[in-house]
Amino acid sequence: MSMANGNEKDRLKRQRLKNWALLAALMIFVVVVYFVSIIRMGGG
Amino acid sequence: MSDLSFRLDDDGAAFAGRSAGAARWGSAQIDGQVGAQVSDFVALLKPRVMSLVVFSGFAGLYAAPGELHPFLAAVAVLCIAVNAGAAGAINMWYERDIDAIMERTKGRPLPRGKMAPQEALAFGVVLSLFSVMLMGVAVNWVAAGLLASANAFYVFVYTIWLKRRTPQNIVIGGAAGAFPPMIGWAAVTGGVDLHSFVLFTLIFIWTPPHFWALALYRDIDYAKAKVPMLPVVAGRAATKRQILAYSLVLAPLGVVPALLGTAGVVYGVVAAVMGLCFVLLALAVLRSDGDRPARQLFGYSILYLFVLFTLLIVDRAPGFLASTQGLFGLAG
Repeated sequence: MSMANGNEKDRLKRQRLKNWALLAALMIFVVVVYFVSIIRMGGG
Repeated sequence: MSDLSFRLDDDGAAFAGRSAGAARWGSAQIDGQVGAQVSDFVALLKPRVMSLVVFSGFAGLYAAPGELHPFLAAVAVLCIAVNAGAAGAINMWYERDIDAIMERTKGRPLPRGKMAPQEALAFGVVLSLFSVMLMGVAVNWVAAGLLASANAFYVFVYTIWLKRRTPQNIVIGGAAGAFPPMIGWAAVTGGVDLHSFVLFTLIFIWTPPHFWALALYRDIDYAKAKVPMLPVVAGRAATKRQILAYSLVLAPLGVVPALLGTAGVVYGVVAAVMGLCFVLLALAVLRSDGDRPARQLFGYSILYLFVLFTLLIVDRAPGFLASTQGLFGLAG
């Protein structure tokens, strides 16, 4: 039972980390697209 | 699930005794117990392979004549890196059965049951699409088209079609790895020309001796996985002759960028000397019965490409920095 709880905790922890990584990747993507838009509109 | 082969030990690693079939189809059940870590997704991107791809892509971009905003140049390199990693992830998805058999690859996330196969596939496909679209929108659609071609070539031509069918897999499939400098070049110039084609050909001809040197001392691995690498199918002697033949083509080809003006004199001299050493090492491989010369040639081949592309940047450097600052005045 406690092993099952341990597995569940571990799974949740990994899921949280993956969520943060995904959020970070999306944020980077948004920032990149923003700057690309600024540069392209400026004729760069 | 009665099949033990689908279960995990405490570290999340699959029991070693599971079959290739279990590796191919059973990972979804394995994954259900713990789930993948972020590092497993990073491993899917084959970071070591990516480093050479990024480097050669950057060299092509830097050596190309013309101007590109530094931020867009960074985005182009990022797209090349992510796309190469994505192709690697799809490759790992497709090859998870043979990866589980081979010593070199059995520690990868899918054979270890760290994630469901469909997760790896989705990860690879999404990153492929994102990188191509971003390259198109941010840089230009010629570079994006080449990026998509490299990805498709690696996945469909090399991984799915050739790798398990012919000992020439690495010869034709090697074209996928030769794309990055051409993509970098196209990111700046918006097209393909003789200069970038020579850089493409350089990596294309370099790939067979590089991989066959590895295959010479990993032939048991490939034979176990039933991958028809040249040493497995044609024998070691024939492979060594092929390595020498390709080295004899590669050595003079390495000097061509200097003759075309893509690179300078220092590059030309170093390429000639290193090309000669390449041929001498290939001769040593041909004459030896042991694995040592093959290991040396494999390591040297990586050094060869790194040095040549480093010199392409350092020695010639007519790219966006030089053309804007007039440091060399050699662009064209």
